[in-house]
Amino acid sequence: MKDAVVRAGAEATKDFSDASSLERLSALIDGALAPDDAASTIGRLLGDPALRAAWDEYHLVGDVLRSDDLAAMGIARQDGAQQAARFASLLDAEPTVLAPQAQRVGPLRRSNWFRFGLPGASIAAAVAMVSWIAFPQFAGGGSPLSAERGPAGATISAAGGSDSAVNPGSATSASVIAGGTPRPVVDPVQLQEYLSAHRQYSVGVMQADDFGRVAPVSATGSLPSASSASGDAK
Amino acid sequence: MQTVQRDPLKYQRMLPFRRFEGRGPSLRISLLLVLSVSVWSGSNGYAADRHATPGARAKNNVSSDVSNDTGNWLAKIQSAAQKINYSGNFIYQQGAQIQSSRIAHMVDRVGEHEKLEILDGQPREYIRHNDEVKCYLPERRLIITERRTPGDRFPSMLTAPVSDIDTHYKVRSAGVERVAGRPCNVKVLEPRDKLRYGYRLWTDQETGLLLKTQTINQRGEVIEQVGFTEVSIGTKISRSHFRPKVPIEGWRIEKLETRVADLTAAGWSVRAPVPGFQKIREVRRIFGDRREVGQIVFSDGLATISVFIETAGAPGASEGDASKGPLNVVSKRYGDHWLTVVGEAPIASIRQVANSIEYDKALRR
Repeated sequence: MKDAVVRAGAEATKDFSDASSLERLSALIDGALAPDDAASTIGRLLGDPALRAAWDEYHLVGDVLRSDDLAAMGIARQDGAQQAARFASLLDAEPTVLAPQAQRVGPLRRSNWFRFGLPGASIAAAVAMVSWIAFPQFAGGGSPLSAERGPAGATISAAGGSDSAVNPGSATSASVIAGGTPRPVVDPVQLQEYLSAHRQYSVGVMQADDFGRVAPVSATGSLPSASSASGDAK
Repeated sequence: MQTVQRDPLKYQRMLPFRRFEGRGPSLRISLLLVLSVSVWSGSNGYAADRHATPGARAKNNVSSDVSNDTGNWLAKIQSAAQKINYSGNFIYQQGAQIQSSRIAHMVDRVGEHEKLEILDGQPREYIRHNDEVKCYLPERRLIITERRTPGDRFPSMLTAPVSDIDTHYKVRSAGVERVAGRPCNVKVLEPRDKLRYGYRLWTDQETGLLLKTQTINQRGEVIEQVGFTEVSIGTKISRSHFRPKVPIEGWRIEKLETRVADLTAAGWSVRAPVPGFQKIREVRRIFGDRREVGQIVFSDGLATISVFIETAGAPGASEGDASKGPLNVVSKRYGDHWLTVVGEAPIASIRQVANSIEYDKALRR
C-alpha cells in the first residue's frame, strides 16, 4: 500500500463476493484474529485490490463515525436535495458493504456497529459523510485536494460514486496496515483554512471557496511558548 | 523625449548591467521611451550618452533584458493596475476548474476604487476603496471587512518589492500576442533553479496593464492561468458603480483581523528558506474552531510560502503532503507543535522549508 493510488472505489468494491474474506477483514480490524490468521489475511489484503478497497472503506466509515468534526457537519448542506438524490443512486449502485455481516462474538464495541447494522439515520449520516469527503465540491468547497502519503501511509479511495463527473481525487485517510493505531483523517476543512489564510497574502485571484469560515479575532491568548510580543492589529 | 533625472553615482553603479552600451543613440532612445512612461520617478535613468564610459562594451543580445529593466517592467505592471481605469471580465483556470470574475477599477481624487464580482460558485462581491475591502456574501447575509495592501491581486502581481528578480528568474521576451482583442507584449520568467515555478506574462502594449498570466511548472505545463476575456481601458466609470448591488440591512458584519506577531521572538526560526524568499510578514490569527495559529509569510516577489505554527493537540490532523494546482502543502508534527507549510512552489521547496523550521528556547527574546 505504499504507492499513492486514488480510486473511485465503487467499481473496486463491486466485484468481490467472498463473504468469509470480508469477515476475516472485519475481525482483523477489530484485532480479533489470531496472529497467524492475521498474518495470512494481511498477505491476502496486500494482494487483492478488492479487499484493499473494503479495508479502506471500513476504516473510512469508522473514522467518520469517530471524528466529531466530521459528524458535526451534518447532512444539512446547501444543496440537500441534490445530495439526497445522489445518495439514493449511490446506495442503489453499491453492494451493501455497510449491512450487517455474519454473526460475530465479541464485546459490542463501537467498531462492531456497522457489522450488526446501524440505525437508519446513522447509515445515512455515514454515507453522507463519506460522500462529502469524496466529493467536497457538493459542499461548496471547490475541488478536492489530492494527497500523496508519506512513506508509512496509503491513500484512501472514495467510497461510492461511479459517477464519472466527479473528481477521482479525494480527501485522505491513512491506515497503518500493521495493526497499529489507525491514524486520523485529514480534515479537508482544516486544510482549507490554511489555504485561505495563505491566499490572503499571496498574489493571484480571489476564489469562491475562500473565507469558508470566518471567526472574529479574540483579544486573548498568546503564541505557544512565548509571552506575546505582538503589536497592534494591522 | 523626456530627460530623466540622473544621479551620477547611481548611474556609475549600474554600469555593469548596461549591456547595450555603444549600440548607438537610436537604441538608447527607443529604450528610454519605453521606460520613461513609468510612473516611478527615481533616478534610475538610462539616457546616457554623456556619461558613457569606455569600459562598458555592447553585448549582442538585447532580447534578454537587463536586470533593472526587469524590475522596472514589473513595477510598471503594478502601477498600471493601480493608476489606470479599466473594467472587464477575466477567467481563472486551474486544473479542471474555471472561475470567471468581473472587475472594475477607477481612480479619482479619493484614491482607488475597485469592484470584483465572482460570477461562478458562491456569489460574492469585493468592493475596495484604497486599502479597505468589504466582501459581500449575499447567501450568508454577511459582510467581511478587511484591510489589504493594494496591488496583490490580478492584474497586479507582486507580493513583495523585487530588487533582484534576475537573481532567481531569467527574463526573456517572447513576442507579441493578442489578448482580449489587444496586442500584448509577452515575457517569460524562467526560474533559474528548481525551487520555484515559471511565469508567462502578457501586458497590454499601449498601457502596460497585465492582461494575462500563466504559472508554469518544471515540465513546462501550465498549472494555473488567469486572463481577461474582454477589457476596456481608460474609460470613465462612475463612483456609484462601486456600491453593493443588493440591499444590506440586517446583514452581519465581521472583521477579518490578524495581529502582527513576532514568532522569531518566541524562538521560532526557519533556517533554510528557499533562496530569494524574504520574510514579508508575521501574523497571529484565530481559525474557525478558536485555534490560535501563527503565520510567517515568505515571498520572492512572485510566489509566496506561508508557514503556520500552532500547538498540536487537534486530534484530526495527519502528517503528509497535499497539493491543489500550484499550491503544495506539507504538514508535520514538531514536538508539541503542528507545522503546516503552504506555497505556490514545487513540493520540494515546501518540504525544504518545512524541514528547516526550528524552535529554540534559547533564542527567545
